[in-house]
Amino acid sequence: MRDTRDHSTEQAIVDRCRKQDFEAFGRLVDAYQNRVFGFVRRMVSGPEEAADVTQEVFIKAFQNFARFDGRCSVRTWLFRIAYNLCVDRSRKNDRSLSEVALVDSSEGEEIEVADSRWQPDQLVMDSELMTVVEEGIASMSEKLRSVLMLHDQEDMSYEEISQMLDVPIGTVKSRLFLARAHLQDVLKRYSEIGV
Amino acid sequence: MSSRVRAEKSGVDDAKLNSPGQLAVRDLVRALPEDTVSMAWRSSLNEQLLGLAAKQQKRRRILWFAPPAVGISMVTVLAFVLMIQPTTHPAAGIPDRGIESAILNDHHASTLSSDVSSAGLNLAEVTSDANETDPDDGVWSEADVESL
Repeated sequence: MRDTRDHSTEQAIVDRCRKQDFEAFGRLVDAYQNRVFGFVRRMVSGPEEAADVTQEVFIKAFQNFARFDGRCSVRTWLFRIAYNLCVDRSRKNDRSLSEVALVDSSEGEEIEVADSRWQPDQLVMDSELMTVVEEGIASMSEKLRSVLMLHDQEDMSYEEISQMLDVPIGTVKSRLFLARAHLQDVLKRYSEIGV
Repeated sequence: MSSRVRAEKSGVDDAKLNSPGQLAVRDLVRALPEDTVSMAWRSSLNEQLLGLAAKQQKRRRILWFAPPAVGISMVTVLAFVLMIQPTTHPAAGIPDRGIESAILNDHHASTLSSDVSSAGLNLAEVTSDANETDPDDGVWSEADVESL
């Protein structure tokens, strides 16, 4: 019931945004600004650049809202704009992160929960652990990072991500698996180092 | 196609993606704190959006007024052109403009008279007498018919 109400509210806002309703667009920005910023921050080199790119995302969205045809959700559309802008930026900056090698899935190891600081069922994360996770995310390639953030943080479905990035669903799943495996590896090394 | 690309495209089983290790990492990523934008950032964005909205509104206003304005201008120009278009009749009298008109009238008259009288007659022989009745008066006699 709440989902239906939320959906119809968002639809009403989208319809008003199409007519260049400034107030309606403001509400859309309120709803997505932090999430888009969080995604962009992990895709570009620094927080200042992330702030600029995030602004650019909403400016582009405002300018082109009349062209939004509703075939995908507003969220998917906004994140697609964000992703494309991030890719353009990293090409300009010529960021070349080492690609995580494709590993045979049978070699994927389960991480052992040895370190008491890492409890997956905890909602509040230790700041040190958070730093390790953030560094692990930053160290993976753009392709893996984008899928990991869109699926695990933004809760997008494989189909939405596939449509957004214009890659097959199988590719989305593979990248997600590899991204998580990379983080597992980083966390394992962190827990082995112990402190 | 390289083995790497092939492996990527073929995808991974959902079972593997739902393994405990994979789900643990998923939960970690979900637990990352949400980023927040600053008030300054939001003010700057609002300023830029307001500027854009104003530009778009101005453009819409121009587009709204342009077609009727163009139409009215065209009609006005057309009306003006039609109003000042001079009427030209070759046989009409030339307006009196002093010497020029006298010369032109004279020429016009001589042209007409030579049309009437032809090359064999002179102007003096061509007379116009209002009292003289034309014997023909549009009626043909038998002599006229025989002369044909």
